[in-house]
Amino acid sequence: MEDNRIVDLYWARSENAIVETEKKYGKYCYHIAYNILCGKEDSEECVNDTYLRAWNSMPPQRPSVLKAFLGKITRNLALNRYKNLTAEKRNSGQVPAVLEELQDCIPGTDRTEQVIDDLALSEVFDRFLGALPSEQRKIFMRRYWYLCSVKEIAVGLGVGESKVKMSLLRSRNELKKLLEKEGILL
Amino acid sequence: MKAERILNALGQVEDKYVKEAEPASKAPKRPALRKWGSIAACLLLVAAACFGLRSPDGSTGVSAYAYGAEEEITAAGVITSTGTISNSGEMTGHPLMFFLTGEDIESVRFSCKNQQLNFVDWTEKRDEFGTAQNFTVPYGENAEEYYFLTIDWVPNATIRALTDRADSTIATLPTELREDVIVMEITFLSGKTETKAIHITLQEDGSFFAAFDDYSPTAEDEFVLREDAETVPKDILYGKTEMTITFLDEENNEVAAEALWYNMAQVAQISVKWSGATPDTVQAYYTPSGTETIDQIELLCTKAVWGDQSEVVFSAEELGFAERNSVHGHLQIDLGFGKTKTSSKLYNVFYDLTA
Repeated sequence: MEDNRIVDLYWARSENAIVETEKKYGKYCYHIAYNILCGKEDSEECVNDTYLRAWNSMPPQRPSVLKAFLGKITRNLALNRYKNLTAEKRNSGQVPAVLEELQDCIPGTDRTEQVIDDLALSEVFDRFLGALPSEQRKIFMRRYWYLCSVKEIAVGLGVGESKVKMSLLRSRNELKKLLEKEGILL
Repeated sequence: MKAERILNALGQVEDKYVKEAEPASKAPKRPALRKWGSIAACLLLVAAACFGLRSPDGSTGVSAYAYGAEEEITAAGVITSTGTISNSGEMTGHPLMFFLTGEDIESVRFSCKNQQLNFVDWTEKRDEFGTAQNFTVPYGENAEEYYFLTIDWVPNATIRALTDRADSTIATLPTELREDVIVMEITFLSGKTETKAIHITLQEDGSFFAAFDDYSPTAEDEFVLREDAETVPKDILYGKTEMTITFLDEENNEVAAEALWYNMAQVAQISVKWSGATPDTVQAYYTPSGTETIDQIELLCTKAVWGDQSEVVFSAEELGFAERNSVHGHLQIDLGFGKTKTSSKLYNVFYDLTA
């Protein structure tokens, strides 16, 4: 079913909206949740919560890209759920490795001037992403948005793992440079 | 936690980037260019076999492609879509980042007339050169790897000219800052050689025009005669140099940190060992606590490294903490490799004779 039709179903308060969403985007959302939570049950619950959140958001919202809209909800829910899990559980999934890698992007303390809110920060990320070559951007997003493993990214793009790692390293360095250049304090 | 903040804020980026990067759920695919490049190469081989085709000038079929957009840089020229420069000197993306395709290339010597080039080997097999104007890259018989050897043209001189003077615009820049040429002297495994060049022009609207064609160097092309830059060994590039730093007392026993702080009054020497590439120099730096800015960093001691040495030792006298009024800060050790360096983590240090 077309995305517009699915959104119409939400607006019409038809429960078929959930059925169609699950049919079309269930696996996609599950994939995102599983990369973060690394557990079947948690991931399934997270996907179900996504449908509920979508149900509560539409109306008033009418997302232009339904897939990304649902993906963002799943990602947020999964990261929140991850935070609430036990310390033991934290050692699974891609989150610890991703957080460690993202330490590279934190600007040094010498040139920081301003603390900005998350919205402004995501605008900086939009500009950063817009300036990356497309393949480098895909690799970056798959790792830090979808939290895919390096191996999964390499297989998905048909390139070597070393290329993926190098691309990520360069992107992190570029992001750090940009944050420092703009004097952004995290 | 700051990294968590980045992770969360990334969640709000534009939908188009989320959609574009969506992981494939079906069979993995090779990058389009490589796939279509191979098909095109096969077709050309078939055509050559059937019709005995050769290019009229006997050219060996080396082409250049813009990395990222995967568009061919033709002899007629293209406006690159991967980067721009504004009148205020702000650069987006990479105006010209390219790679070569072809077969049986032994090596390519790159010479950039006005600006600098940054060569990156994504296969991590070759040494790199940092940003440089002249260097030679070994290619080798595996043509599949050529795609991963990228050359990024870095127009820093132009950016500086636009940012340093508020009244300068692209239109007022001198020719050498608006135009450049990258000469490529290609040697094939057969011994045959060929010279190509990319001409780059910065247009008034901030876009770039690039053309790739045959080139005959003239006596005026002095930039081609410049010496090659020194290599930056790949061990350094990819962080394969590992450093081990040990704080030792007078009896050569290791001094442990107390709650992550080292009391330098107990330390007689610091041993720095490394594996991988050998640095030229080893330097010790000190930064007082609370003033972690570039201008507060103080070089305590530099040691030159000779031959196959794999350790240097800094004595307490050389570090000079005993002579300071107060010591409360961070110590860092750098291994210097020509233009690049590898830094240790920061070690917290204080000096207390009574402890």
